[in-house]
Formats: sequence, structure tokens, C-alpha cells
Amino acid sequence: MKKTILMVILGLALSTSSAYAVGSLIQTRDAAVTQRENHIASREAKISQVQANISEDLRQRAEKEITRRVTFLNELITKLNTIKKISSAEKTDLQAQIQAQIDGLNALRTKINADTDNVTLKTDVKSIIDNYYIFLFFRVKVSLLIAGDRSSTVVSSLNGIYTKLQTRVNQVQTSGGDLIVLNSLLSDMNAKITDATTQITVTQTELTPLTAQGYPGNKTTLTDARSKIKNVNDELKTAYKDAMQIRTDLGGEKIKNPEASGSGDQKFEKPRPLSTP
Amino acid sequence: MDNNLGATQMIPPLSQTPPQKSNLGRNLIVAVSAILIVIVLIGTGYILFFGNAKKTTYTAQVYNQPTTAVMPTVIPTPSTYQVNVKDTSDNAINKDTQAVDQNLNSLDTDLNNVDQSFNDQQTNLQ
Repeated sequence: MKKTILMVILGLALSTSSAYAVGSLIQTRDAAVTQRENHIASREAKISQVQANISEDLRQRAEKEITRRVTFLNELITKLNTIKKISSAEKTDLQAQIQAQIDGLNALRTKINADTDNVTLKTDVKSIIDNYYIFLFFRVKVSLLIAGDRSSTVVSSLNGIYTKLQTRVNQVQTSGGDLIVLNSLLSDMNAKITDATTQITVTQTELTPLTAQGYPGNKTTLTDARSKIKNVNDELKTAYKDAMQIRTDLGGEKIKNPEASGSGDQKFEKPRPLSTP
Repeated sequence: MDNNLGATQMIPPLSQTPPQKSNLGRNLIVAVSAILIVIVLIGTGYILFFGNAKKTTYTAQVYNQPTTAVMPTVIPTPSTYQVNVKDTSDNAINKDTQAVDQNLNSLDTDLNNVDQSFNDQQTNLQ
């Protein structure tokens, strides 16, 4: 009997301790699981935060680039209005193309700001990169057209000055003055103006048919147009210097100027220094 | 008992009415204030009316003074300047060359813009 009681007590003690041990193990495991879950949740929160920061950064950079392009394109539209040497049809067409770009960029900006997932955001931002060539093409082409137009204006003015100086030199010739240097300068001035005119025409002809879709294939043509306009600039500066030199050389000669009001005889005043390099 | 009651009944004291204050001081203050307000209003009106009138007169004097006409320096506007080929006077050629000079400077700026457009760098979006 005693033995039985002892066995029961022992059994009870064993089962209790076993249950306690199992309970402790479960508790420990649950705590570990909870800790692990918390850790995972914390890591996921950090990842989400990092992704959100990356998205925000990307969004801000996209916004900056879109604003930059829209500002430039709007400036191009304004500048196009000042160009006189291209047809109004071409001007209107270019302005419409640029405006379409502006509208597209503004729509993209709205979409990017509304994007909620990173994949869509990255796709939209990538489209900004992919369409960069269109913006670049318009910027280069319009800049070249503006420079070409300005060159034409200078050519027109220099042609007028050349005619006037030629008239004055002829008057010196009538008075029996020495014309070798003056004629040489006039000849050089005329040659430079003529060559500049030809190069401007060629430049405008090669620029006109270029389209954004043809970029960067047509980049060589744009580069060529740039070097031509730079040559034109150099030639026009030389022609201008010739004109100033002729004025200086005519300074000592009293000549008849039938078009000038007042007395017929006149003398060139000392010309002001050339400010153009 | 009743008689005692009647004998001991207190005669209520005569209410002492406060001596009637004279309104003279108050009226005097009101009158002085009114006079002061009227003086201030008249003074303000005078300053506003005659002050402006004097100012107008002064301005008119300034404007009526004979002025020397300051001729603006004629600087030909780039791009819009037109050379008159028939006018071969010194003055005309001076204006023409000034216009060319300005346009050549502007052409330098245009060419800088061309170079900048070729070297354009977009924001890093990678």
C-alpha cells in the first residue's frame, strides 16, 4: 500500500514537473517566435522607410529635371518668336512641337507625383531619361537658329555699311586720294560678308529639315551647323574691323557727301574703340 | 402693555437727503471739451485743406519751371536696327557700327548658348 502511494506521488511529481518543463519550453518558444516576428516587422518597416526615402528622392530629382526642361522649352518658344529669317509656318510647327513636349512633361510630372508603387515610379522616371534626346534636340536646334538669325542681321547691317563706305571711298577717289589700302580693306570686307552670307544660307538650309526623331543620328549636322555659325561670327568680326579701319583711314580725307545735310565737306570723326573682341 | 408699546415706538429718523450737487462743474467740463473738439476739428480741416492747396501750388511751380530737355542717348536696338543706305553721314555710320557692335556681342552670347546646349547635362535620375 505504502509502495503504491509512493508510486502515485512520484508519478504526480514527475507529471507535474514534466508539464512545467513543457510549459516553460512552449513559453520560451513563443517568446522567441514573438521576438523574431517583431524583428521581421521592424526590418520590414526599415525597408519600407528606406524604399519610401528612395522613392521620394527619385521623385524630387524627377521634379527638378522636369522643371528645368519645361523652363528651357518655354524660353525656346519665346525666343522662336524673335527669329525673323525662318518662315512663320516653320516657326509655328516648331512651337507646336515644343509645346507638345511641355504638355507631355507636365502630364508626366502629375503622374509621378501620384505614383504609389516604386515600379511604376521608376518606369515613369525612366521615360524622362528616354525622352531627353527630344529636349536636347530642340534646345540645340533653336539655339542654332537664333545664332543664325542674328548673323543674318549683322550681315544685313554690314552690307549697308559697306555700301556707305564704298560711296565715301569713291568720293575720296574723285578728290584724288590714295585708295590702295582703302580698296583692299573694302574688298576684304565684301569677301567676308559674302562668305558669311553663303554659310548662313547653307546652315539654315541644313537645319530646317532636322527633326527630333532623327536625333542623335542628325547630331553631326547640328555640330556642322555650329562650326559654320562660328566661322560666320569670325568673318563678321573681321568685316566689322575692316569697316572701322576704313573709317579711321578716311579720317584724314575731306570728302564730299551730297547726302549729308549742312555743308557738303565733311571729315570722319575719330571712331570709338572696338568693344567686340 | 399696548401703551408701553406705543410709548417705546421709535420715531424713524428723518432721512438725510444728501446735499444737491451743483451741475455747474460738470457742465463746465462738457462745454470746454466741446470747444476743444471743435477747435481740433477746425484745425485738422484747415491743415488738410490748405496744406494740400499749398502742396499743389508748390508742385505746379516745380512743373512750371523751364526744364532743359535731356536728349536720350540713341543706342540702336540690336536686331531691329535698319541701316539707311542713303545716309552716308558720319553720324549715320556711327549708329550703324554701334548697332553692328551690339549685335556681334549678342551673337557671342548666342554662340555661348549654342555651346551650352550641346553640353547640356540632365539631372541624374538613375
